[in-house]
Amino acid sequence: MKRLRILAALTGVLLCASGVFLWANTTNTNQVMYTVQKIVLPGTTPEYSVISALNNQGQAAGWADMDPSDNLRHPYLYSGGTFTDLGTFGGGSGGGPNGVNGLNNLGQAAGYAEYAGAAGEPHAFLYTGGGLIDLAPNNTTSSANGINDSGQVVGEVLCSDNYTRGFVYSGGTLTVLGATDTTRSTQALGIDASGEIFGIANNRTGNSGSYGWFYSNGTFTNMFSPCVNNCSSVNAMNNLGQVVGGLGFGSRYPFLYNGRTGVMTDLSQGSAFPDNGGTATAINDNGQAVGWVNGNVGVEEVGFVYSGGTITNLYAWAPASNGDYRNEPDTINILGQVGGRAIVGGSNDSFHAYVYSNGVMTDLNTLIDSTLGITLGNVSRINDLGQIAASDYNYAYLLTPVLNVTSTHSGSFSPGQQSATYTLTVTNSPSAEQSTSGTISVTETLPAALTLVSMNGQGWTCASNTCTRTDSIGVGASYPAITVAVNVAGGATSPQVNRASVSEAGVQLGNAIDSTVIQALGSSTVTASNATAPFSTNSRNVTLAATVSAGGGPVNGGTVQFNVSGIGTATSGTVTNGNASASLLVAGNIHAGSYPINAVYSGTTGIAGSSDATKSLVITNAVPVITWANPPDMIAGSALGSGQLDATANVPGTFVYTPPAGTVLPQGSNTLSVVFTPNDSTDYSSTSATAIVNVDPGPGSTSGHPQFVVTRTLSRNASNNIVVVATVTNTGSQPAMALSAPYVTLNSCKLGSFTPISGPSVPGSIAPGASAQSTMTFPGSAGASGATVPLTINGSWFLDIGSGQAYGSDGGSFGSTLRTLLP
Amino acid sequence: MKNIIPILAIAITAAFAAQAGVLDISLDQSTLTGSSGSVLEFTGTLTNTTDSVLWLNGDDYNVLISDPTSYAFDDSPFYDNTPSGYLDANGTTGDIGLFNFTIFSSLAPGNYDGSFTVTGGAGTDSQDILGSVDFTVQVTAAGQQNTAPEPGALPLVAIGIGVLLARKRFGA
Repeated sequence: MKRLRILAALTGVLLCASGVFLWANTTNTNQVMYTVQKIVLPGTTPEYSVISALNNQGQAAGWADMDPSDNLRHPYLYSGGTFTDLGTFGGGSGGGPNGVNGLNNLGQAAGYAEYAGAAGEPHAFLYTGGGLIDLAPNNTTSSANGINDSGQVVGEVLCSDNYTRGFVYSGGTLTVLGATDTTRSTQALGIDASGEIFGIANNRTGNSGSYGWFYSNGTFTNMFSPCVNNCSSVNAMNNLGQVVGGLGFGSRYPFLYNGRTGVMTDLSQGSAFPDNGGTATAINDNGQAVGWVNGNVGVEEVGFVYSGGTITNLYAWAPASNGDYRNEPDTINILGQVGGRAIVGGSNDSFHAYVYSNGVMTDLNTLIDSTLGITLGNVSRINDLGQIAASDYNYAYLLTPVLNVTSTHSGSFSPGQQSATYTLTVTNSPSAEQSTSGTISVTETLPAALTLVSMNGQGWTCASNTCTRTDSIGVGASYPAITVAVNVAGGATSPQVNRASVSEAGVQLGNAIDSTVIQALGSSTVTASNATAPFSTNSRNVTLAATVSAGGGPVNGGTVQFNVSGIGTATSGTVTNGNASASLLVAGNIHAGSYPINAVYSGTTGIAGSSDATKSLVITNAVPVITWANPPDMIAGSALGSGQLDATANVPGTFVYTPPAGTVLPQGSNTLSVVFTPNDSTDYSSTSATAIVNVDPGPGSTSGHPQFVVTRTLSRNASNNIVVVATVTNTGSQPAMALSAPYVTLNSCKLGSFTPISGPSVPGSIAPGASAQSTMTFPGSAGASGATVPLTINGSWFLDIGSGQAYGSDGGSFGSTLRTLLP
Repeated sequence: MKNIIPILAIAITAAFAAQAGVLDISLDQSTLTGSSGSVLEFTGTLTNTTDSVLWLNGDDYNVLISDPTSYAFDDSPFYDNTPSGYLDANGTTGDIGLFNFTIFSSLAPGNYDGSFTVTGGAGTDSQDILGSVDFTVQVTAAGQQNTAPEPGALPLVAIGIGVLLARKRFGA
């Protein structure tokens, strides 16, 4: 791009040499850094316009000719590209005093407008809500001179004693401030954010014999006391009650007067010409002031910037042909950008408008499109955004930087907050004519209550409070954002204003203003919930939950971190409607027990964090899994054994069955139960299970009758004889007509080929489902220990159905043979 | 000399199954007929219905005969035909002799119901009831033959008569 511009310039020179001058004039030769808006009513051909006020919303106000034929001077407001004629109270046909003197950041304007008629006197007005308010309808003449951001207006009214008196208009009421003394007229010129007023006291007949005054809490203070005549001029006041002007008696010098402390500071000390007269023209809210000191012949005026007790002299580029050598700063914004005019050499009137910052004074005419055909000669205002009100002495122009920086933040900050962030974005305006060129630099300017922690952004090289880069972006494009982290002082008041500025090729251009609410955090209450999870050998996720409230309602925003002692940490998503939950990974084999939860709420905008450490995650005993299918049906007379009592578990442990093994169950459905006691009683609990087993009746053909099944146990006695205990079980049923249980006798028993040497004893009556035992002893010679020998037991039974009468075919008989392993 | 019931019964295809149990006992014929001196041979198949080995450790019988001296119950075929003492999982013995019933003269003619039960289980010492089967002994008067053959046995009877006639005709 730079090469293209050089080529264009060379081409222009060559074409001029060829006589094609018009073509050369239509080629821009500048790196255009400002758009230029001529302040005139569209569609008119006015003779002049003036910007007298420029606020931080980019609104300009002043006065302008609307039509050369009537020479009418109208107050106007220019806002967002719209030019509004504020009108008059009916007068102004004579080109009289109509205009705006003050414009606050709410777009409210203060000024003066003529009434119609013979008197044609101007009246102070407040322009608000789209209309003019006559602030002093009962006074013949008045004027409004200043307005603060609270809508308080100051000015002067002509009173009945023909003295003008300062006034303050506030909340719909105009209050005359009274007289500093009975021989003076007073004019209130400005009012700061605190309602402090400064003004001038004049002889009733004119400005001679004036002195500046500061008015606060009902008291006038003569800034130059004891001087009362021809003392000074006063020009401006900032929001700190600091007034600047020029002292015109004794040791003449530009001054800065602190209305709150009464301290007068000579701003000429350290300048090129101390105590040689001059004036301070403007002061910003950082106490930085600009003005000029009078010099000697050939060096008429030397500009200065006063900042923190240090004077920087501003000289003209070159003397005029008559030797005049002047630099007159007229305005300074919050970031120290200065606007003014300076001699560029040549004729005596050859002033050029300039902007000065960071030690660089740049002719504004080199920063605008050279094809516009205008020469800017002065700067009257520069706002905190870096917009400039300039003039070519005929018309006013509003210059807006094409390279801008914005600062944004989320919500409000809180006192003591750490690493709060701003986001800075640099954009080459869609209205720009060219891509950016040269080094781009962004500088952070934090208020005292904010401390810079860091600045960084993709492609930016950041050090301290400045980030730079050299790559170019096109029209309408933005560089990657810069994130600025700051710490907020514990005692920070609200609001705090973050400011940032961007410069291109060393020229400071757009500024960001980011007013930030500092809000003490409200308290919050986080309430965690107890949680439980069974012991497991496997890892698993457990949901933890909490509620967060503040001010009696649920909270939205922030997160809750759950710290579970001995297990781990999980963080919720954004708290929504007061609810937070997180999934905690619990490793396998963490023993059963209680693990404290500390739930920590992070806090959110305007709400402080909180914590709750009263709840726990309880790992409960796991319940073993018992597997026990219903056993197959049993046949009556069978004893419970491993075929039925065969429950298994997923962990080691002990089974206790009810009824136990060996039990002969009755016919029908029987419920079996088991209690399982795990070996690991720390992590597992005992549990139980049941199974159903059906006991079927005995063989069908003998159903309805007793049936007998014989089981046995064998042992050897002291004589080595073999003792057999036979258990005879009635697996059948009782005939309906029988009165007594079947009576059983054993009549033929053998162990191998051996008969008992004693017994068998008589089992006797055995009811259905019951058993009886019979003991018999066989000689030890029946077989050696470990030999398998058949044991045969036979018996018979009969029923008594009454009166000793047997049932059926006199009862029945039975037998049993068992493969028997000899003891 | 034992009066063995002719084996006409093998032609009868119907099986006589036991009640439900882990051991299925299926008799080839659940009713056998004889008279005094007859030895009735009950045959059948034992089938392990489980997926585990079943030890066949013993047997029991019951008959509605009050006089144990009027008959003899011989279960030696069961032991002889299950010499290993066990059945493999889902295994079967095939058709084997299970027990013999001998009719003595003191046993009056009539029908006598009984049951045959096998005991055992998972081990060699188990004595659970594994399965049972019913049977009937039909005692006839001496000299009285069996009742008419089952219809399914008629072809075999005819063949048998034919063979006898042929032998007589050809002097074989």
